[in-house]
Amino acid sequence: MTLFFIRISIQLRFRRLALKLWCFIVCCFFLAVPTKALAEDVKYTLSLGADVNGDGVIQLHAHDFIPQDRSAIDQPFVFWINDDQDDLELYESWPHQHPDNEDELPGSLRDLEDFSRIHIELGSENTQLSATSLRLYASGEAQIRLWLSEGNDCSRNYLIDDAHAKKQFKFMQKGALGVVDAKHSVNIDALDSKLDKHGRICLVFEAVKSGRLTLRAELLQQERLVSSNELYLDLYPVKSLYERVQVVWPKQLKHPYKYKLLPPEVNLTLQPETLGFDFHKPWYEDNNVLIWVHGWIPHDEENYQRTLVFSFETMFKRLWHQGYRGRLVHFHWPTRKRANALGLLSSEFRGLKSAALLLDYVNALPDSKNVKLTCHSLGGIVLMEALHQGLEADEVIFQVSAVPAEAFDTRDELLVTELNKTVTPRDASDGGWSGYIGKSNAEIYSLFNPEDVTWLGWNAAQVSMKPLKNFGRKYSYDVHRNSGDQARLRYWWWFSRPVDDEHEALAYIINSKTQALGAEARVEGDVLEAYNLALPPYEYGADHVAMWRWNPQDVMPYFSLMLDIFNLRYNALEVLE
Amino acid sequence: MKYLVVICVCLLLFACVTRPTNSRTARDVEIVKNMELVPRFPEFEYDTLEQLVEQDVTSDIHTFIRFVDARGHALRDVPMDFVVLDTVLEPFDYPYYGFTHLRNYRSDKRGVIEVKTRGAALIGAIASKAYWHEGGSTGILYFADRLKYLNTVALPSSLEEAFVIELQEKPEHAKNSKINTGSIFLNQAAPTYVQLLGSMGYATSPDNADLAFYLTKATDDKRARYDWQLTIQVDGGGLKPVVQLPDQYAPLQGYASSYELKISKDDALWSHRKSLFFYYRSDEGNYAYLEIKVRTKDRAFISIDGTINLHGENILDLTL
Repeated sequence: MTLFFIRISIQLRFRRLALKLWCFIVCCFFLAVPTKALAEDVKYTLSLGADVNGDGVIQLHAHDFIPQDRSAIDQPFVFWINDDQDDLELYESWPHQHPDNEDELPGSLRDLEDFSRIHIELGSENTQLSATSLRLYASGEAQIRLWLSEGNDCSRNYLIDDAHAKKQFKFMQKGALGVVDAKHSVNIDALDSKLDKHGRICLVFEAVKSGRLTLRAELLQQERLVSSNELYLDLYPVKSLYERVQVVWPKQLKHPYKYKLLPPEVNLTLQPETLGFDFHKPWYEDNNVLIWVHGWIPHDEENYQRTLVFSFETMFKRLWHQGYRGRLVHFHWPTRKRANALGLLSSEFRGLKSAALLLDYVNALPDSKNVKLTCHSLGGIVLMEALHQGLEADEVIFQVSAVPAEAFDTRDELLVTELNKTVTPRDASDGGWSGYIGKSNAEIYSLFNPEDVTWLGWNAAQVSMKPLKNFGRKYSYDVHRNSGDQARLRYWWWFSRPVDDEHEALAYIINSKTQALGAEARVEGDVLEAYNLALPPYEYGADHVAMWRWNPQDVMPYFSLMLDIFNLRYNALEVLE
Repeated sequence: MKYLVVICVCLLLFACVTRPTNSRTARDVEIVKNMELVPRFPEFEYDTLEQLVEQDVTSDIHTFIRFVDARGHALRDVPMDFVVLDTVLEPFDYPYYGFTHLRNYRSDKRGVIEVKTRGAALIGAIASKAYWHEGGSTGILYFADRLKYLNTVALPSSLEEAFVIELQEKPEHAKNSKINTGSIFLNQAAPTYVQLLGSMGYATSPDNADLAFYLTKATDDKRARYDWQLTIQVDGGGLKPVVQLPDQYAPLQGYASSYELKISKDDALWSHRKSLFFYYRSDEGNYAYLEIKVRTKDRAFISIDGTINLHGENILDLTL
C-alpha cells in the first residue's frame, strides 16, 4: 500500500512538474508570438543630421549626386553660439547686455542667421507612428535650444526669403521645444502630425553653450526604444572661427604734419588680435584664404569692437551660410576716426603704410593656399597700395571702395572737371594717382554703387581737404618749384620742409581727379569686371554698408556674387515651396 | 547756429561736386551689343557716325506714361525703371551709345510717370510684381531726330498725350518661379546634366535634366589663357539667345536644341568667365528666361538665374 501511495505520489509530482513545464512552454510561446509579430510587422528607422558639409542641403542618405551629410566625432557639424544681440536698434553691438540665447525668443529676422537646422527622418514599415514619441538628449558640455520649424519647412527659406523669415519668426514666438544638454532632454509626441511628406521632422536650433555635443535621438514606442541615432556638434564662439591680425601703430609716432623736420621712418608690426578668443581651425577648412581689409572704422577700442561685430563678423556668417569653408582673416589696420568723422587723410596715410604688412602677410602664406582679398570702402587704400607694391593673389574685390578710379583706369573719359582743376599731378609717374596700380597679376573686380551717399562726401573731401591746411600747417604743391621740391609742408608762415614721402604726399596733397572707384561704373583698365550694387538683385540705394546692415534675407545674392568672383562654390538661393 | 552754418557749408560744398552717375559698365555694353538695340548704320563712316551720335545724345526727352486699371482708374505707385542712351561710347564702336540707369520712378496719384532728361532713346521697363500689361512690359522710344523713324507709336510730349498703359493684376498663368541654382560643378570631358528647379547646386541624372553642358578646356594652369568650348543641349526643347530687349513674352519660334560657345586664347576679349542670356523652352513646352554664368577657371562651374513659367505659357516675369 505504501508503495502504491509512493508510486502515486511520484506520479503526481511528476505530473505537477510536467504541468508546470507545460504551462511554462505555453506562456513562453504566447509571449514570444507578440514580440516576434512586432519585430516582423514594423521596423523603425531613424536618421539624424545637419548640414555638415555646408552646401545648404541636409542629405541624410547616400545619393548619386548630393553628398551625404555624415557627422562623426572627428568631423562634427560646426556652428557658432548665439551670444550676440540682434534685437538692437543699432543692429548689433559688442560687448552687450543681453545675448540672444538667454531666452527662447529669437531677437529679430537678423537673428535667424545665428540659427541652423537639424533634420530627423523617421521611417516605419507600415508608416504608422502612432504611439511613438521622439526623445532628444545629449552628452557633452554644450547646450542647444530647439524649435520646430514653421510648417515643418525643412528648407533654409527662413534665411534667404523675407516672407518665410517672417513666418518662421512669428512661429518661434510661441516658444521653443526646450534645451538639450547632458542634463536636459526634449520629447516630441504626436509624430504623425509633424512629419513632412518625406517623413522628416525639421527643427531649427541655436547654440546656447559652446563645446562638444553628442545629440542622441531615440524613437520610443510605449517607452520602448525602437530606433536611435546620433549627431555630433562642435559649437564655438564665432570669434574662434575666423582669424584676426592687427597692424600696430607705435603710440609715439605722430601724424607726419606734426614733424617740422622729416618725419621718422614708419616701422609697423603685425600681430594676432585674439580679443580673448583663440582661432580654432575647423576640420573642414579648405585651401582658400580670404583676407578682409576693413574700411574707415572708429579707432577707439569700444567702437572698433562694436564695428567688428556689426560688419565683418556679419560678413563671415553670411559667407559661411553661402558655403564658404576656407579661412577668413580680418586685417585690422590703424585708422583714425573720431565720432565727428575727422581723420580721413591721416587714415589714408596709415593705410598706405600698412600695405607693406598686408603684403608680408600674404607672402608668408603657404604656396598651396589660394589667396583672395577684399576690402570695403577706405580699406581700398591698403589693398591698392599692396597691389602697387607687387601683391600677388588670385582675385581681389574692391567693395564700394574710396580710392581714385583713375588708379585703375587712366582714360580721360573718367576725369571730373572740378577735381581736375587742381595743380597737383595726375600721373603716377609724377606722384599722382593715375595708373597707380601698375602691373598686377591679380584679377581685380569692383563692386560699385553710384547711389551711395558716401561719394558726395568723398568728392567734397578731394576738393576741400587736399592739400590739407589746419592748425597752422599747410601742405602745398607748386609746379614751378624744382622737381622733388614741389610738394612742401609749411609751418606757421616761416618754416617749411619738403614732402619726400610719397605716401605723405598722396594722403595729404594729391587729390583724385576722378570719382571714387566705388562710384564709377565705367572703370575698365585694370578692373576686369564691375558690378552695380544699385541695380537688382542688390538695390542698395544710398546705403554704404547694406551688405551687413540689412537682414540676411535681403542680401544673400551679394555673397553669392562675392564667391562667384572668387571662383568658389556657392549655395543655391532657390526658395523651395 | 554753429551747426546750421556747418550744414549749409557742407550742402554748398556737396552741391559743387559732380555726383556719380548710374552709368553702364563695360559688361553692360557687351550685353547691350549682343541685344542689338540700335541699328548698325553701315551706310556711315565711323567718323561721321560718331558726330551724328554726339548730336543724337543731346536730344530732349520729355515724356509721360500713365497707368490705369481695367476701369480706367489711375494706378498709383507702379514702379518703372529706365535706361537712357545719353553718352557716346569710348572707344567708339557698336552699340555706339553709352547709357545711364534711371531708377526709382513710381507713378503718382494720377498714375503718371514723367521723365525729363536728354538722350537719343529711352528704354522703359515696368517693374511691378503685382501688375502686368498684356502687350509687354518693356519698350523703347527714340527721341533723336535721326532715329524717330524706328518708333512704332507717337511720342507723347505732354500729359494730355501721355502713353496710357492699362495694367491688370497678374493672372495665375502669368506667374513664374524663380530660378537660382547656385554653382554647379561641371564634369571634365563628360556631360553635366542640370535641372532648373530643385537642383540645389548639384547636377542630376539625364532623365531629370533640363539642360546638358559639355565643357572642354585646354589647360588647368590657372595663370595662363586657354582655349575653351562650351556646348549646351536641350533635348526635346531649345535655347534662343536673347538679342533684343528681353520682354515678358518668350518667342515661340527660333529655338535650337544646342548652343555652342568657343573662346580662343588669342581672342582680344578672352575671359575665363562669360554670362549668356537665353530664352529657353523645355520638352514639355515650359518657357524660361535664363542667365547662365560660365566660370571655367580651376574647377569649372556654371550657375543659372532666371525665371520660368510652369503653366505652359510663354509669359515671363522679369521682375523676379
